[in-house]
Amino acid sequence: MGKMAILMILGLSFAVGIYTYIITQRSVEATENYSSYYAYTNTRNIAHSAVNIALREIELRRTSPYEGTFGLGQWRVDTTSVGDTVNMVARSWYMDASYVMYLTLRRYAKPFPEIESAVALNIDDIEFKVSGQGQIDGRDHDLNGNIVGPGLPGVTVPSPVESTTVVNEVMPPASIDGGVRSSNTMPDLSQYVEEYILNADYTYNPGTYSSITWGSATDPKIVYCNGTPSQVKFSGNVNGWGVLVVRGKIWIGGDFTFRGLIIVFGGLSVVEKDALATGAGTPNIIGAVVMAGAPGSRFEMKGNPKFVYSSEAIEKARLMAKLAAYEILDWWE
Amino acid sequence: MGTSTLMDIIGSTFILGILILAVVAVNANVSEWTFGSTSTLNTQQNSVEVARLIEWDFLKIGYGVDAGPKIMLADSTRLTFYGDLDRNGTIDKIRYYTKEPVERVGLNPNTFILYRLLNDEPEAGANLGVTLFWMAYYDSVGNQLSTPVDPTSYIKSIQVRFMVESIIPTVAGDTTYPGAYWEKRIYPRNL
Repeated sequence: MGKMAILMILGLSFAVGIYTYIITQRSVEATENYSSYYAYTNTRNIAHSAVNIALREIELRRTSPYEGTFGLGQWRVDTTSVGDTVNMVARSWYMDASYVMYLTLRRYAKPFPEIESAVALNIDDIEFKVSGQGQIDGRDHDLNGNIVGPGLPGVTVPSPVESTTVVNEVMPPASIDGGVRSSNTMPDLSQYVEEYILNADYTYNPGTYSSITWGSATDPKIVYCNGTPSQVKFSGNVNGWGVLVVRGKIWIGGDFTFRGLIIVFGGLSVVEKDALATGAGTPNIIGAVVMAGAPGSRFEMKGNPKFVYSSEAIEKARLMAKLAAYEILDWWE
Repeated sequence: MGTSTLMDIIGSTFILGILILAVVAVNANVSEWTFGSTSTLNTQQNSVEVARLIEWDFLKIGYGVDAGPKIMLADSTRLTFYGDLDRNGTIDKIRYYTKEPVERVGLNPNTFILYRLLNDEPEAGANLGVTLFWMAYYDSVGNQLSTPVDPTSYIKSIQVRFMVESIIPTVAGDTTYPGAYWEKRIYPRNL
């Protein structure tokens, strides 16, 4: 009787064990199935994020491959570039899942103002003042300010009225190479400035600044100067590359060199040359200036400033990483 | 044999009978539960398979297609598109569709076959328990396009929803079917 009871208990235990296995196995399989899909989608999300990170890395001019981790996931992106085409292989791993994407992207610049002259002044009834040896030169220059070929008009203004104002004001030794032209196709700066301000690398409020370097030939920057209610003043030893956006008033003097595009917009805007710079340096703008403001806004050159057009400097500013966008040519995942 | 022994035999027989009945009852319950859970598991697996297949295919719509339309037909239950699925340089033609009128198959009267044909392969499909398959199409600003979409070049994203039910009832003779619902807006990057 005792042996029989033991055998029965063992048999029952065995049966219960089998039942338990059967019952839990379904739950285990269901969980595995669900977690497998979760891992798959998570791995895909990691790969997508990796692409965004890689684009940022490209913007920062770091070299491929780019690698990193997201929690328990890993990713790696290899890129190769040919001209404006970027080929990208993005891989990611999470748990036992892996994901790969092959991308071909075309890099292009975000909208950029059409440059019509060395200095474009979209201002009615402009107050244009010149005293000293200021020069505006519409011929094309290289990054060092050397003439490399014919270019654009020296100055464009909205109408013949402003054209007459400018011509009458410029007397030797001041000069405008390329002449003054009236244009009704001057750029609407409101289309651009917000983007530039949002992406600014440097921001300045009213005050006086000196001894600054903004970027380099290979890494142009966006500089935003909020010249309201009073001016932002650069008094010397400033060297910059890229796009300089000014809201309100700016005063430029001393040893100041900027290669790229200067945009002045809004209110009473002033671009001035250092009045005491006769031997202490020359403000040198290599690229172009586009200015728009309320009627009567002022453009004033004192001393020895040079505003020379440079398609090369403009192109470098236009293609800066911060203003780059990507168009998808092919995307396999 | 005394009265005591007789009582022992009767008592142990009674207990054995209760145990056997308990085992039989447990076995029946476990069998039923196993049947139901297996049915639920299969439904879940089928829904994941369908979801992964749709994602795999739809994300490649238009890949490698340089000329001509990327989507041939876009209707609420039919989609025909081109894309290099396996990245071998050859453009594939993929068709998703359900038969009209819907052909019901299997023990579950709600299920039908969702066909997915690659290139010119003959029509064949497995009953994965699909009871709902519906697609909507959206343009670049998110407006839903009326179906069938014309021209298909307006399509920038596809909303897909499907439901999968078990092809057999949870309990034999019953009409209860476990199901899984899936919906997603897919943005094929090559459109």
